[in-house]
Amino acid sequence: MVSSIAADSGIFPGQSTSALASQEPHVHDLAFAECFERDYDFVWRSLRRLGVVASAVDDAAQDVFVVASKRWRQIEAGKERAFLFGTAARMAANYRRKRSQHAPDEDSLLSVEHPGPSPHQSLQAKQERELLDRVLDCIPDGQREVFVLFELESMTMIEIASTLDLAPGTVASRLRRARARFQREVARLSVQREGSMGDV
Amino acid sequence: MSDPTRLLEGEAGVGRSLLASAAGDAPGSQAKARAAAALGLLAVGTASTALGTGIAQGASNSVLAGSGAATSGAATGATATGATVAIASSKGTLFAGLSLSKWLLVAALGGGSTMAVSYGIEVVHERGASVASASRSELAPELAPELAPEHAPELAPELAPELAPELAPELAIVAEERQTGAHLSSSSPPLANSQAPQELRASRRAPPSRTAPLPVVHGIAEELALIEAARSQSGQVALASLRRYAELFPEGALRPEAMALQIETRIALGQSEEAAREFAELEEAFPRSPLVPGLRARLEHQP
Repeated sequence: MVSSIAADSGIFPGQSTSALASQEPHVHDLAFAECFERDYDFVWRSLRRLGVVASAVDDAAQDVFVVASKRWRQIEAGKERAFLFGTAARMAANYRRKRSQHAPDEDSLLSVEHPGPSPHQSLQAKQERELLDRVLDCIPDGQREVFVLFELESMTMIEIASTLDLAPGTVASRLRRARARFQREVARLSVQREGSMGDV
Repeated sequence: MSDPTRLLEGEAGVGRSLLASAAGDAPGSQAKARAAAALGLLAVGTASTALGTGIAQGASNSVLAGSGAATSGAATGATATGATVAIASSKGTLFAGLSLSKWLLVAALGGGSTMAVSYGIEVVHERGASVASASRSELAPELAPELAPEHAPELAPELAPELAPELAPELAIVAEERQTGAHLSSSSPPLANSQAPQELRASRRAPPSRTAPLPVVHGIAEELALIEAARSQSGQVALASLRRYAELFPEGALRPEAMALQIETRIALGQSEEAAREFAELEEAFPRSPLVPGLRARLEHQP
């Protein structure tokens, strides 16, 4: 089915005689609206776990779909989610880069405040998410993407390979290294927690 | 390829606890709806008149900021029968007396029910006049007590006559766009118009944060504006715009899109060698970009 949105969209408005006009549009199995409905939460979660803070993630998620809507006819059919994730990953990387220019570089967990015991479960969960994000920040981008998709989005390695257009062996390698890094940072965190409790 | 056991399914520990915490992180109930509305994917409201348009006039008060800077924007949303356009445009300091006000959007259109669908805009029907007030959560959280939607009807009678002359230009623009179908039509896709992204962003101001900058919003808006400008151009003019984009955003989030557009423009100009060279650069920089296969196919089919 040709997306009713894509069919009329004209990726480059005002450039009807340009190269795009002669380009054969991709035929999508789903409409842009369906893609939005299906993948919005996925994009939102991906942006968060790739480093976009909560205060900016709603806008970033919208931006991802704005870009997708503009490129809809050029996105290969069946690769919609890959495009969305790739765009989200670039936006997140860009965001992290800009954020690092405005904030001191905190490359380790040493600066992380330890979540103390809280009577509020939601607060504890929030603190744990902040710690998770700090741990994820320690993982290089390419490995982080694979890690997030596998561990948090429950995608199979085959699906990840397709989404990221990577060889299966590369996915496995990145996941292995990401896990090692994750475990290492978690171990450091555990040591810090124990030390913190010992000080009390 | 057999997948390893996920850490969440493994032994309990700090790592699993951290990963499990991510499960509670999900979009707010309204975030998706706002995005859908902003993208023109959401029909909101129950009725639409022949006018079917809600014109929102935003007034910016700069008493505190002292800047008097005016911003404007428009958000678009599809209705059941077509599209409704709401333009939020701040004109200055219409409400200088409000010490805390920053945004106020007032739509005044008589003649029955009118629907306005826009990001962060709430429409209040009151005696034939629609008042769209800025969402307190999105546009001016600090204004909630003063400019809550429930106050809008009270403000409307007083403000509408004052705003009428100022609304005229926007009304004319929207009316013309609607007549010519230049802005949105029932068959128009979301954001099909080149104006839409800029307007979208202008209208979709993130809540002013006291704690964190929002570089994504501003950066992307500027990037999109430049790319949109290039898209509306052709030939050397488009290439010049894209060069400017590359200068300003050498590592921009939309760099693949800019590179792809440049390649397509090259192809259109018959500059096959340059297109091939730039495609190689794109492929090297973004090998997994979904834009690559389509461009490769196009280049391969070039004479």
